[in-house]
Amino acid sequence: MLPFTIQLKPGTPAYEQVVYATKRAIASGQLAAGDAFPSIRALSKELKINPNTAQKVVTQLKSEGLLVVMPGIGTVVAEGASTSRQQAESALQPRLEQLVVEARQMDLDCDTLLHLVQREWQTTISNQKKK
Amino acid sequence: MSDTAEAIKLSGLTKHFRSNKAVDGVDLVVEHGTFHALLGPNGAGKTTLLQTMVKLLHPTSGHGHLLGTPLKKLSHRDFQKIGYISEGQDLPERVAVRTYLDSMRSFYPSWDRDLEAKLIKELDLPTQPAIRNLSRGQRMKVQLISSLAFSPQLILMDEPLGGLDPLMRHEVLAGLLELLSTESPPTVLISSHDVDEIEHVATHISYMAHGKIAYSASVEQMQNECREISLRGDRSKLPDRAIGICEQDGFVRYLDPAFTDDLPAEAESANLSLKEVFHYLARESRAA
Repeated sequence: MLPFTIQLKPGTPAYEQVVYATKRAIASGQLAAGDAFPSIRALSKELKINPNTAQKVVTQLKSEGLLVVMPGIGTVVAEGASTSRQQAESALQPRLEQLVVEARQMDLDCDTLLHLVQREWQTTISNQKKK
Repeated sequence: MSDTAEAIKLSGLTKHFRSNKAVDGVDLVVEHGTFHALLGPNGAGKTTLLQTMVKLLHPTSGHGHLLGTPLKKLSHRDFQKIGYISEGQDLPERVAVRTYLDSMRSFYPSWDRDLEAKLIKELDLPTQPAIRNLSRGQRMKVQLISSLAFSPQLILMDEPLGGLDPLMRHEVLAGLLELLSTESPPTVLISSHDVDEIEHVATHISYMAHGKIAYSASVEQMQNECREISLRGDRSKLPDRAIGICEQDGFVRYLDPAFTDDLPAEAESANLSLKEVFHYLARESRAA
């Protein structure tokens, strides 16, 4: 069993989807520092992806400092894997802009958008805690 | 290990049956260590192509190399490094699975008993019953194990998932992934209809229609470069490379196989799954 949830969609590289799902799991606390991360073989079989792709996912997450190899234990989620506030802001900025523009186009005001974001926040976080 | 760059290289490979151009000038390169899916509608020539590659059929013209050896010169020695699996292959009906696998083992010096045991477990295959008492899916598993356990460098598979129920397909795929997780994974060429299941396993795809390869790319390239473009208006604005053009309700939709960011005015683009790309290619080949 994988320690996070993901439903692979066709049409986008599996690699991107799994990297994103892992980041999401770390952000929500579903995966905490020190938690074991599945082996390449387990990732490949559980998700039905090519082992090369699974390898790429792990390499990418390691290079971003989200995973570390602990000798004798395996690959685990790194301490401080959750990003700094400034990094987080710059990573989110393009999508925030898109969200604001789209909300504006649909005649939503700022309060309504904030309310929607808040609701989404609550469902996402509480869903993940249950698991 | 062969020192050539490609596991498979075909140039102008052709197989005609009288007037039927089943395989009609196929050029194909499959690099070592890749998982190449050969897709295409029934009657496209996939089975004939694979049979020509393993010398079950003699090519009408053209050339090919498997693991660096010309098709003509492939001998039983080469076939100890090449696995071939096809639907409905003849198996000895009265023999127990265990006995059959034991007899196959004697043919292959490179037979790996650990891998055999792993695959039997992974595929959940009973080894006591006689082969004639097995289901279709179980027969495919027997073939898979007997063609994978000798650790071939190259595996050619003709519709190994065809006609299997979802659970069996799942298990067969898991068996394949088991093999790909080994230290020096084999090169795989697999013909398949199950595009959804293969999308994240394959590293490369080729689409075959009317005996020819119409499209060939890495999956990453396909995911990055294939876009469905839809725009209002007429066909005059379309690029030459537009594939599978269809018009509906004043909109034109097509597949752009080499999308950059140069969208025509007022057009929208969308990502496509392998299945959707497959549908566009099929529409194009029907129109041709």
